Amino acid sequence: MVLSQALYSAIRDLKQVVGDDGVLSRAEELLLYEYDGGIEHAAPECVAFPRNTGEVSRIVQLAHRYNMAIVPRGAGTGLSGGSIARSGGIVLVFARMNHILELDIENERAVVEPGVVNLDLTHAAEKHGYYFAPDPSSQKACTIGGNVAENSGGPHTLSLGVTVNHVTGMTVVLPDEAGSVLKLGSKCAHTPGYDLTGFFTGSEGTLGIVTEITVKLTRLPEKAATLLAIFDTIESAGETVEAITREGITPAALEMLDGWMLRTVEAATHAGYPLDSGAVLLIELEGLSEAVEDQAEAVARVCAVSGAREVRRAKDERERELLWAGRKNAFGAIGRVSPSYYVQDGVIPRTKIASTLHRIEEIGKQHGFIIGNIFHAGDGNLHPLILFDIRDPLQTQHAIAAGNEILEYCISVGGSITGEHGVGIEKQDLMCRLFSTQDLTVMKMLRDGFNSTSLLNPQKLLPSTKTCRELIGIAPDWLARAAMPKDLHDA
Amino acid sequence: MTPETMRPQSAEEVASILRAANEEGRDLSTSRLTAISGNTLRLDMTALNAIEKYEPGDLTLRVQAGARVVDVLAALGPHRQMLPLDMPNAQDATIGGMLASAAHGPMRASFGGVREYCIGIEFAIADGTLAHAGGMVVKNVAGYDLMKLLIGSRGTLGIIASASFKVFPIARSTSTFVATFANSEEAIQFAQTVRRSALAPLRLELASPGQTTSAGWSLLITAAGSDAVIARYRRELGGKGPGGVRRLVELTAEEDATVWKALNDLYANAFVSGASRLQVDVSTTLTATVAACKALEDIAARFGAQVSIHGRVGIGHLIGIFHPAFGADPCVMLQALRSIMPPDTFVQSIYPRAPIDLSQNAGMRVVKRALDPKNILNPGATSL
Repeated sequence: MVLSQALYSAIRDLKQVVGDDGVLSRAEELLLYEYDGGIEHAAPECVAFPRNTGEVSRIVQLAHRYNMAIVPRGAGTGLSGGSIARSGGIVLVFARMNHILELDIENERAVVEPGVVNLDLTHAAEKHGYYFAPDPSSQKACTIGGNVAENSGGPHTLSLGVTVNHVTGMTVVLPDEAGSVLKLGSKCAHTPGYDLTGFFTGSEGTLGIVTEITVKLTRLPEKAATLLAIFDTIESAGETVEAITREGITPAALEMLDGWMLRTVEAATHAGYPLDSGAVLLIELEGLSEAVEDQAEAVARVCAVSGAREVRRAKDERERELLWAGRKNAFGAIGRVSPSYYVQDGVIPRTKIASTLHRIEEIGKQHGFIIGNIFHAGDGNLHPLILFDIRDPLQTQHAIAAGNEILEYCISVGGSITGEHGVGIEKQDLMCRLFSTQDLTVMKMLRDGFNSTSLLNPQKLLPSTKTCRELIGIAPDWLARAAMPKDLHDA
Repeated sequence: MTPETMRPQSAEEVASILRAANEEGRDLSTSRLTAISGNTLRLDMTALNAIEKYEPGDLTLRVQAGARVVDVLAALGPHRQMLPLDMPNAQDATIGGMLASAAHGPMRASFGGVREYCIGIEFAIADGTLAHAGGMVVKNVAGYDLMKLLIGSRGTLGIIASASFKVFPIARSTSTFVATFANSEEAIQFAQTVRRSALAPLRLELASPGQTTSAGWSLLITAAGSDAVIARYRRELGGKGPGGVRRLVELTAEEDATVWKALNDLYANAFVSGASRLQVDVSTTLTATVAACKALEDIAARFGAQVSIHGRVGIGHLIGIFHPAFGADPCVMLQALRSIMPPDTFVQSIYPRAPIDLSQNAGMRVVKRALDPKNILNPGATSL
């Protein structure tokens, strides 16, 4: 590939900032950075690996000089296109900023660089009796910087909250011409002034580049008990979730797998799920031993009343880990049965779980798809997986339609389009269904205050047009392109 | 001259009032506490007091900003649900006022501040745009988290018209234990021992001598759960730290209600009666809490004042209410206090109410400029 003069100069200047080995620019090197965990893809012009906040600031200045976009990227496990370089430019990867700078156990805090892997932080803190509570299923690979950008959740955030509830401070490089460095928050539970730490968390890399994060560490619970409640129908499992919520029981985690999903998972991981059931609830209880036993008794009682066939309790740590391995590796298990899947991330009130699952089943039948359900039932965060073959344009069109219908239904029952994966590119246009023009205008005012030239992660999160009416019914770009006949792709 | 007061009946009316004020360049105040100039328009939000939506089965609630906290709690109670809004002046506080000031009480020790459970918001910005963020579901990352921005902003970024919350089940039963110590250091160290144990108390509150029935420094620990859980607290608290716990008393239900009311009334009585001329809110790290508390005590001694100290000590929070038997200027006292505080400690003056200092941080100025470029919203509540 022949580089333009401007790009050549930019790469040369980037190397002066991060070193010769800190920049990738060959086409074959850039391939790896075209994708995230979803199916959207777009090629950056180069990739840079900064080592510290100062280098990030200099890269921002450089990006202004050369009029190049910057897209921050952690491990690239995101599912909404948040780290895809839709407008080309520089993908900024934090693989070299992967240090735990401080483990302050006495103050229950850690200070980390954005490239620290989520589970690595937990392992480091576990030796001292603590862990980092947000536990996305990708936690073996995903990074704290990415968790902050997307306000990641995970199964165990039901009782302890999502990432924003566990971040007390950060250092941010702003996308202004100077690459200004902003320090927000502190180690304290509360820092006076506007809560910019909370505002930047979940901003999907569109307001600033986070280069250091102060997180809360949580004490490991005294006891954990994992229950598997088995149901003949998915409806009764859904009704049980509402009953548990109404009873005032707050498990540490409450996950659901429908029958099809658990059979697929079982074939891959042999986690011990019952193959003949309609659905299971995986329920984790944590805390004081006496409280855990109280909750276990209450959960078993509610499940029995709601029609559970059986409630099993993991006998030991091995069995507990196996049940969770089944849950956390579920998406990977799909690869054995389908060439592609399209996963949604809608959220609904817990009172609507049963009716929503029924609607999802209807949508699947109408479009001729199997839709597996595995999700964070305890907080109403669904993950229907539409199984299809992306190589077939007709299937792709139907997958688009089915996905849209599911999210439309979530909105119609008072829910949201994303509980933890973020808006990114994938759901950008659906923001118009969830928010009014005025809502989006205020968000844009704030984004423009920090990112006035759209240098940082452009064309993400907020819709690209002021008139939301024009965007009703339009599919995410990647599926729309995939649905086109091949010869129109490159038109 | 009495400032003009408007009492909007709807969120749209709030927006329209702001639009007009912004066009005229006229300041607007929602605070009953801040002195304002004659030309300032005072906004009385109390007509917006409805519970718009309550879903006990989903543990979610949407309520207008002018609703009183006590009325909201009364609506949740029959469903055995609640919001942990046990702040001082809860009798008079509105939902909007509570959000704007990020007010909190002893239950912050376990539930965190309101930022942890506010899930949606409707608000008007200075130019009259009426906008929403979040929603009515307990997990939601669609769009920017404007709840975080507005909470604690004291009405300087937007006027809140309504908000949505996660609500919580009321604990099956609770019991409060009071451990008494000779000094603040022992009390705080015991609080940290409790915090690092498997116990997860509903409240973990420090109180200086005279605020409970005991003569020493008190640590109030509220256990919540079944009889077995409370029995566990009884065993654990009684057994900790030889010589550390001078006395451990388990309160009756009546004593329990009395002591929490007394702590909250401390603020109301001192402040409203004018008996206190300086009240500070201290936020520090766990390891610096002992030193921060000593600083409050030392300043009181230096200026010949009395100080009542309490707070969510398990999360590094302290409140100091100085009683004037002194002639010192509260500002001088405040400056002296800040100079002896340990590092990484924030001292906010609650009375006299200090403005939000926008000069601290360029990001705060960006946000203020974006949402209220003419600085008409509660202008006395910010400074540059």
